[in-house]
Amino acid sequence: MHSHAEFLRRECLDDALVATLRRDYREAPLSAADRAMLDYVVQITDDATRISPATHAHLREQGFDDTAILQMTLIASFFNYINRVADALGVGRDA
Amino acid sequence: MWIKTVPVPDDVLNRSRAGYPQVYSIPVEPRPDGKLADIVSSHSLIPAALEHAFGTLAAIYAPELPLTRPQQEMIATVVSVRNRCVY
Repeated sequence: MHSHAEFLRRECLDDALVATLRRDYREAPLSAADRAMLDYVVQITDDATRISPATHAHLREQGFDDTAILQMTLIASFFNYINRVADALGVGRDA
Repeated sequence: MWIKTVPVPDDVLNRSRAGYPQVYSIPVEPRPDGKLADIVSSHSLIPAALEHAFGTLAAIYAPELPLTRPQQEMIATVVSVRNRCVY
């Protein structure tokens, strides 16, 4: 989790935001759109079977089109993949 | 890392780097010490998987797509925290 926090710091240079996202994204000063996006990717991570057309309708109300919804879905799913690869192979662990 | 890693051929790295804009900080670039990020080299025993996995990342990060760079990285951070990923 630390490697992408570092990328985030470099991309938006706001240490406080990065720290808050790492602690609890719900406490971060986000736009409604960004909050909806992060709620969605957290739901993908926790249990994607609970996502429904209503979830997508909410994202569209926030201004995301289908390409954006697909993009956020694939990014979230990619990081679920890469997290599992890293932890299963001991990447970043000393022993 | 609990499995063996091997050197990654330059052609594999070049193809997996090909889609990334120059300004992006990407895992397939070598670190200052010249080594690859461990998450990249962890794939090295199956180079095609490395190429396609990190090539996929380039595709979904493409600048012509709707999400901003900060949005992309917020997703990556929040998902990784949720998974309690050590790396």
